Amino acid sequence: MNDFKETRRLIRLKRYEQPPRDYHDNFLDDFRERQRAELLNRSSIRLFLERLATFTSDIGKSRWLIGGALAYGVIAILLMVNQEEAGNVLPGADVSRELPAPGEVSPLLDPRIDLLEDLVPVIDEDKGFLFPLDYNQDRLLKGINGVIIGL
Amino acid sequence: MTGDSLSNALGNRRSSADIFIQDKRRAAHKTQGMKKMSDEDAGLVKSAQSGNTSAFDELVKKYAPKLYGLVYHMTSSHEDTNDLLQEIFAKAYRSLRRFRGKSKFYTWVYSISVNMTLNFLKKRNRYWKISLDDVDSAIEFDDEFIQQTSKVDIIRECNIHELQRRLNEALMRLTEDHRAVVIMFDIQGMAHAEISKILKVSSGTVRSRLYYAHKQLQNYLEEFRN
Repeated sequence: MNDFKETRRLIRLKRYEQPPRDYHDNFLDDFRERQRAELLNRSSIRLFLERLATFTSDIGKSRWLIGGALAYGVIAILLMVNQEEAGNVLPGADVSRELPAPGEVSPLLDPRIDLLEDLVPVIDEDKGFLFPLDYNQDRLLKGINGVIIGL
Repeated sequence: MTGDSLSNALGNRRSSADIFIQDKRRAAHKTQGMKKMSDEDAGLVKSAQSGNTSAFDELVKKYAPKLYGLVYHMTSSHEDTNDLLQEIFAKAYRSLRRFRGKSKFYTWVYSISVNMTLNFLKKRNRYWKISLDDVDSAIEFDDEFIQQTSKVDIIRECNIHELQRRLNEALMRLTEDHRAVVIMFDIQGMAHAEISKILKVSSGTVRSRLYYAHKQLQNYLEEFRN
């Protein structure tokens, strides 16, 4: 180290380089003012990103662990959302089958019949049956898809 | 060995011993000062962590001049230093809640400064402009300066600004890691152990970086040697 005595002495002279005399006195005021101005001007997203960056740089080595856990979390959420969009259909289930002919199914199960409109049940106290709300004999006898409901 | 060379050798040995003792005294003095300072800082940090902004202001007032020196000598630009220093304290303020006091505040804020400055220097484009601070007129009364100007012709011949320019050029030719170590050790007078904590490297690495940096500086400043 002492071999470089002269070099070190020369370099040490650099400490005489000083900012303007009132620089340090004004620095704190400038700092406060700048902080306030930046807080007002920055978008909330930028502030969030900056704080996130500060947080990640401060947590040290555990940031990889947290990052990994977050990535797994995001992947898990994406998979769940994807599955829900697919209609919760189990793999291998046959969904492409055509609808059966109208005669083959009970009218109650036929999706083309508006059951709510035609078959809102009411209790007929005299006969003790359930009839559609707009019950009339003609319509009942024609039935829906050839099936007579009620009597 | 002639009488002259013997006396020169003895003189050199004495001056080497003097420098060694001086360094030891300086380190001991600094250690005492640091302990007192870290106690004061701990109180201010605790207060700032609980939301007292004026406590943080005290810390800014206290460390701004020291950190200014570090950043300024690293960047050789007053404007860049001013911007960086603002960002350093802004970051320190945001991160203060996570400061657990495992190290001294001084070491912690210095680490932030060094890392941010090194990152800044990596990004700074090559068209940056040097803007050096004025040299304090007190340099003319500095013993080392007087000694150097009386011994070395070139220093006597070139004016202070020229000397400043050349020293600055030499420093800027070092790598950033080497420059940081030289600034902290030679200009700011920090001990090896302290620098190693700030840079998070071993004390041996600090010494080795210093050795190579001094060697390079000696070559760059060859003309100034007696």
